[in-house]
Amino acid sequence: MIEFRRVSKTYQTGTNALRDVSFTIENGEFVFIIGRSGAGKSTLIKLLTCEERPSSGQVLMDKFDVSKIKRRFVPFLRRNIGMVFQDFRLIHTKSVFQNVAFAMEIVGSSTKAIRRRVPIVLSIVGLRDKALDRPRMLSGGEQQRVAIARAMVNNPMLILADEPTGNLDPTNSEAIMALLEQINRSGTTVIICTHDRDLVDRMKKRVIEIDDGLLVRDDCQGSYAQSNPVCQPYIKPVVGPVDEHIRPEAVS
Amino acid sequence: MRATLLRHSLSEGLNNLVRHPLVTLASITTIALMLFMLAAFSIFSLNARQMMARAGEQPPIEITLDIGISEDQIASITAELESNTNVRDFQIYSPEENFETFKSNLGQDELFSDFSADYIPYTYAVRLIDPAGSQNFKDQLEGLNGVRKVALEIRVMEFLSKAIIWVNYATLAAFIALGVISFFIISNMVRVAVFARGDEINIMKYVGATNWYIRIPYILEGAFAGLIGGGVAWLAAYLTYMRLFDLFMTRTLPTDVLAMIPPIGIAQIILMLNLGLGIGVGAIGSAVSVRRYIKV
Repeated sequence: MIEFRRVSKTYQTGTNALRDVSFTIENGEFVFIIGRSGAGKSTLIKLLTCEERPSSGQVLMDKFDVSKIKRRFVPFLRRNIGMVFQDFRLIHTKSVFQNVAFAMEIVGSSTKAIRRRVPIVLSIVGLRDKALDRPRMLSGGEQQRVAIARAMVNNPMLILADEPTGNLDPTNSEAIMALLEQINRSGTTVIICTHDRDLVDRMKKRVIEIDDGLLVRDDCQGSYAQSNPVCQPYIKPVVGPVDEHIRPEAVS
Repeated sequence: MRATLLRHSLSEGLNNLVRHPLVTLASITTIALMLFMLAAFSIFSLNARQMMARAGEQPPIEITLDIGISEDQIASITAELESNTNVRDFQIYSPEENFETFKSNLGQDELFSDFSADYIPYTYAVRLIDPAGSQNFKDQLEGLNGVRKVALEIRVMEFLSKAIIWVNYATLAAFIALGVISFFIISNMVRVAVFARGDEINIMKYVGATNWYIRIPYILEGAFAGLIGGGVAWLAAYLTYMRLFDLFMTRTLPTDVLAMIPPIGIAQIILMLNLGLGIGVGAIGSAVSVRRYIKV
C-alpha cells in the first residue's frame, strides 16, 4: 500500500510543487496521475523513488516511511519499483537482452537465473525474437516494451510509468497500455503519469488529478475531464489464466 | 564480491579506458611521468645508500700517533677506541709494519737500506658503524694526548650523506607535485567518463544499483590506468638505468665503493614501488572523483 500523508514539497527556488497532498493506493491498483505540465506529477514520482524528500508529511510504502529512508538504502527501495519513462531510457550500447538482464545483474541475480528469466520476460512483451537487436534498431513501441520488460524483470511491487505513451502513436500506445494492464492484473501496482486524454478515458481506471500542487480530484473509475468525487473502495481483481504468465517465476 | 559484479566491474573498467583514448593516454602519461621521476630518485637513493654502506665498511679513517709515543699512551688510545660505540672495528699497525707496507708500496727496498722504522709512527685503521659521525669522531680523537693526526676520507661520505637527504626531499616534493597533477588528470578522466555515461548511470540508479555497483568500474578504470602508467615508468627507468650502468661501470669493479647496484638488483623493488603507487594513485584519484560526481 502506498500512502501520501499531508505531503508538501517546496523546492529551494521557492516553488511549491505539492501542497498538503494525501491519498492512498492499495496494492494491485491501477492509477492514473494526471495534471498540467508543472502541476506536480513528476515531484510525486520523485518522492516515491526517493529522488526528492518531502518538505513535510510522510510517504509510506507498505507502512514504511520512505521519506526518511537513509540514502544508502534507496537503491534497495528502487529494486521494488519498476520505472518506465517517456524516452524509454535504454542503454544503446547494449542489446535488448542485455538491457533487461542488466536490471537483474544489478540486484545480484545469478547468470543462470538471468539466462532463464530474461527470455521469458521478453516473450511476455513480444520481443523474444529481437533479443540480440540494439534498441536503435527497434520502433518506439518496441523500445518501450523493452523498458517495460526491464521494469518487470525483477518482479517489482510497483511499476511507475512517467508518460509511457508520450512518444508513441495511438496503436503502440494502446499496446503498451494493454501490456501494463496485463501486468497489473497479475497483482503489481501500476501508477501512470500521463497527458493522454483518450487513454485515460478509455481505460476507466482510478484517476488522481494534481493541479498547482494540490490534489483536486480522486475518481475511482474516472476520465481525464469528468469529475466523480465519490471514490469506491478498491477491489482487487481476480487473477485470470492469462495473468499466470506475467510473472516470470510463475512460468519457470 | 559477487561474480556478476566482479565481471561487470572489470569489463566496464576496461571498456571505460578505451572509450576516451586521449583522456586515458593523458592520465597514463602523467602517472608514468610521476612514477618515472620517483623511480629515478629512488634508484639514486638506493645507490647512494649502498655507496655509503660500502664506504663505511672500508677503513677510511687513519689515526697517526706521535713518533716515540709511550706504551701507556698507546694503551689509553686503544681503550678509547674500544669504548667508542661508533667504532665497528680497528687495527693497530706498528712502525715496523708501516715501514714494510711503505717499502712494498714503493717496490724499491734498496732505497731504504739506511732508513729505520724509528721515524715511522704507530697508526690505527678504523671502521665506523655510522660513517655520518666521522667528523665528531675526528674531533674527539684529535683531543687525545699522543694523537698527531686523524685523516678522514669523508668528502665522498659527506656528499653522499647530504645527497641522500636532498634526494629524499626532492623525491617527496616531486611525488607530491606530480601526485596532485595525476590526481587532477585522473579526476578529469573519470569526470569525462561519468558525463559521457550520464544517462546510463541514471538508468542504473533507477533500476536500483548501489553506489558501489556504479562506482567500482570507475575506480578500476583509474587503477588500470595507474597499473599501465606504473609499468611504463618502470620499463623506462629500468632501460635508462641499464644504459647508465653500462656506461659508468665499464672501468669500475662491482666491489668498488662507487660501484652501482646491478640493474637486476633494483628491478624488482622499483617494479613493486611503481605498480603499487600507480594502482594506488589511480584508484584513490578515481574513488574521490567518482564520489563527487556520482551520487545516488
